[in-house]
Amino acid sequence: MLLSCVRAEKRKLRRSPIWLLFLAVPAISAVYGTFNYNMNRGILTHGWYDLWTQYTLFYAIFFFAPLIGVYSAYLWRLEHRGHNWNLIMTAPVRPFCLYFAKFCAVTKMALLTQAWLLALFAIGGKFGAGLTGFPPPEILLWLLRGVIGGLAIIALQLLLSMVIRNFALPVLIALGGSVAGLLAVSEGAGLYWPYSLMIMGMNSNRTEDVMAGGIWGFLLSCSVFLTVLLLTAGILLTKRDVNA
Amino acid sequence: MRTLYAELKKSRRRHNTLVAVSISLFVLLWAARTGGSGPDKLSQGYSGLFYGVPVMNTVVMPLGTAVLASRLWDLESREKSCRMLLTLQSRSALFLGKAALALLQILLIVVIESAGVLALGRLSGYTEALDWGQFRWLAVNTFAVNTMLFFLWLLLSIRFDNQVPTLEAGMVGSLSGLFAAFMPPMVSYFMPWGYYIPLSTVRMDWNPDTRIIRFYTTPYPIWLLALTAAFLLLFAALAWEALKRREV
Amino acid sequence: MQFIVQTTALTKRYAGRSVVNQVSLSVPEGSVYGFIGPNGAGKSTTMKMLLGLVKPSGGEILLLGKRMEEKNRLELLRQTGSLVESPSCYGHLTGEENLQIVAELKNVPKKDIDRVLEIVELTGCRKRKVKQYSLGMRQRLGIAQALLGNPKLLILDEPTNGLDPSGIQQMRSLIREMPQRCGATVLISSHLLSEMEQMVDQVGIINHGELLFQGKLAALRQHSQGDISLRVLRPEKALPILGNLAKPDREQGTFRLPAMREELLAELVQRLAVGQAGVVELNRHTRSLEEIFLSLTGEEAK
Repeated sequence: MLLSCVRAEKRKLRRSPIWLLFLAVPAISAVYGTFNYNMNRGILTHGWYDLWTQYTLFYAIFFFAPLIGVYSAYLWRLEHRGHNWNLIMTAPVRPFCLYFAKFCAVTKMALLTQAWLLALFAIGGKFGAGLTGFPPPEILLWLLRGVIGGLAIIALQLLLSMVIRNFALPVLIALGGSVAGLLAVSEGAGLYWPYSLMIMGMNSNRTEDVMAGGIWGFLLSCSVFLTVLLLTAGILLTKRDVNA
Repeated sequence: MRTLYAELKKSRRRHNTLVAVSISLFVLLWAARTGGSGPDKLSQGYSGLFYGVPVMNTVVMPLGTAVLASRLWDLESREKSCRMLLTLQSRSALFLGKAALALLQILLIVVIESAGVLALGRLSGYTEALDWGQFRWLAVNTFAVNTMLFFLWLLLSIRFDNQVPTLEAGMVGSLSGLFAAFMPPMVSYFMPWGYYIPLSTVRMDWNPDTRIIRFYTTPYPIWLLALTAAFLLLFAALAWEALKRREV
Repeated sequence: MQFIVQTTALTKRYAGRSVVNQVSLSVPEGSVYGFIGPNGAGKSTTMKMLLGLVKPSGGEILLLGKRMEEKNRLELLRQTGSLVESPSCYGHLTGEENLQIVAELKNVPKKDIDRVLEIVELTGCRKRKVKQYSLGMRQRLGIAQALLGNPKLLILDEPTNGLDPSGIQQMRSLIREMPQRCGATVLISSHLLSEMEQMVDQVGIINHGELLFQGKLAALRQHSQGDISLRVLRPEKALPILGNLAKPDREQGTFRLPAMREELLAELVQRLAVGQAGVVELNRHTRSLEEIFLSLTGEEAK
């Protein structure tokens, strides 16, 4: 049942304009990161690690969540337009599956976005910044951790877009949430705010791992947020009347 | 005047004013959080704000104005009300009505931001004397760039008749504008959506050894403000052109 | 199973106001049931409750012999096709891709798409984006979506809304054939009784959330036959026979009789003949279905 929902979501994403943003955001981050790295070689002495911070600082802090916001808002917008709520809610699938299929779709997009960033990072590092060797393996871990931290953001943005029925507002909320997330991280309260988790996971403003040792708290926080958000979505979808 | 009234009526319960207010309050809260205290900070409090607020504007405003503009147009495109409206009013009245409403919202943003700067200064007890020239310059800049961006986003909204491209452009605008600020000034001149920063005249000098931040000012780049105004007019004209050509 | 849809005292209240009030529908198997009422009468809300889109405030729903409740919902939806309000589709995708999505969700083999496209005659336009479809084509696409997976029950909410006469004609023959062609029972709503006349065999009339009439179309005609006017040569002889049953009309020698059963009428005429009243004219003021509908819903132009 879930699988067919996921396949249905995949079909809906055909010909959608969000692929443009998918390509652009990591690409802009890459151009800037490479450029800035080259400009500041004097103070940046950690090679790939420094390049990583240059690539992902703004990406993780300000733009990952709005990007997820756009993905989520787009998927729900398809249902808010017309009377598509009637269509999906009369399909013989559990309402939560519809939400969870979107969750899977956005998660996949997020993974792809991260993979695209990694590819750009490798290419930019090799040819743009002239670094030797290969990107350190921790990078892969950080990217993955970024997505794990991002899961709560995905669940939250999908929930917001499902309820708000407007494309733009949830995206703006994502930006606000990210800035608040940055402040939360700098105050050491990152684990208590969903938007902070991605920033912490990506390890984007330090060359040594912020979370070395503290990974369990991070995972716990991610799963608590995720569970609460998924439950909320499930309850809202079954208890409320459908108002197409 | 009457068309403005109609726009105001239409935007009821759309919470656009609330969006505008929250955007500016958000920037202020952000600025307040990063302000910090200590005699050193307080003695340069205003300069710190005049330096920091444009950076925050660069992150928040392109997306924020894109939200405002796209919602303003989405109202018509979703309800397909253009047909009805254009039998009641001319296209120019529709355009002017929307523009007037947006200008009011942007003005509101600027007023709140400016008032916030003053309030922050009072509340945190800045010891630095307020440079009214800089204060006015920041307000004028924010207003000019916001308005320019509004017309750019309105143009996109009318062209695509869809909120998605506008929002995407707003995000790309925020991102690239922020990056441009850290690249050589030449690069930032090519990105009008990031003009908040090159227009700002407060520069920061950070000494990595002493970890002391000193702010200094440069002359007002009047020519860049003029360029902003030129872009503003260009985008407004293009948006108007797009509306004129739109088939209903 | 006799009734495919059966509700008892179905009620929906929004903020204390009853939108659907004590509605008891009975839709026989294999019929085309017309659910008719003016705009805002509660048709859509009722249909949404049947589909589980809206939760009833009271009453009970039996679909295909099973109670419509959370544990049966998916099983029942699997056997139901629906088109609620206006057709739901994704404009940026083609007609075929839209059907693929629904087929995916209903877990129906892809070759069923060809069948339903054939039925609604959209085979030629399957590769076109739905954005470019006309309203009629969209409605038909909506029906195609509903038909996927050979449902036993079709719930169609105003499928003729906004169609031109030829579109209505097409839709009508399409729906008329449904029971024979696909073995489905159809519950279809409309605000026009005349439109339904040639399509349905059962009707339910609803207004202000209350079911005013339910039964065969023929019964509706009978149920609200018009007055009868009677002209006799000797009204003084007719009067004692008619008693207070009839009112004398303006014209000399004519009476107005209320609608009555045919046996009763025949007997009355017989008695008039025996009483030598000299019956010369007996006229039934037949009302059009539209008038019947209006008088039932109390929206008759006064």
